[in-house]
Amino acid sequence: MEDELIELLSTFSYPVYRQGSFAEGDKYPDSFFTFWNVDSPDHEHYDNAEYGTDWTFNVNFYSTDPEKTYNLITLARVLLKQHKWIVPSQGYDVYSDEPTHTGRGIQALYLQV
Amino acid sequence: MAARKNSINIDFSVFSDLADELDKMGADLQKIFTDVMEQEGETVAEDTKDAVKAANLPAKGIYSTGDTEDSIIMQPKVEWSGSIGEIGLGFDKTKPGAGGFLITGTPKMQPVYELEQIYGRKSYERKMTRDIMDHLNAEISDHMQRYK
Repeated sequence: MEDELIELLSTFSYPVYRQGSFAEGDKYPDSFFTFWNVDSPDHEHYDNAEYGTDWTFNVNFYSTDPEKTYNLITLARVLLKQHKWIVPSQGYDVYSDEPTHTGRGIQALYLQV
Repeated sequence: MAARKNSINIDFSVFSDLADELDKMGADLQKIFTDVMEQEGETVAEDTKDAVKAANLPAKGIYSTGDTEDSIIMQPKVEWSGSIGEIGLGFDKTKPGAGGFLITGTPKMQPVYELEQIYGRKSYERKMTRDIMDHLNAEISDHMQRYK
């Protein structure tokens, strides 16, 4: 699922990183996505075997341009929903750890069966 | 419970049969659900306090000022709007040092694993659901004993 998520987010032509992958002192790109797999429990069990997986990811967009921060996370939400992801909110602010960048995040859910 | 980011989502419709049973017994449903939600809220607060111990924080907490721990809502209270009860859980974002970023992480910092166990995992929500179910069953038993 992670590969599919990265592939979808990459269609916006901004780099996609795992959350927390920048080292102290690394310079951020002007705009970029991050993601984090929060949980992936079995969806159900039948006959001692799992049936499907409930994937939960956090997807964040950071940018030096606050307008872009808002726009891109909204566009990402639309794109993910078009590809059968569930995105239950318009998003929330996230800390960037750099005064130059603002960040917005969404939670993205996918039922894989 | 409040459906905000980093909140814990419990589907209360699964308790409707137990609530119906209590209602038929004449129980004060609002009081019972207030008690159960506030008890669960205190459990979440204690678990959150454990999760932000220095050993679990980035750089083993050497940059921690204690503000994050101080921003935990330790005795959450239910607020009712008609039949909808809401309770604030986790960090009080109006206080300095509120630890929301420890849950979401930053580009330089992975989310704190111990907080993810509480605010991200379905297993924690399932445990809370079981606890609430047990509480409601105990209330039914109490009422049956009292009016036998």
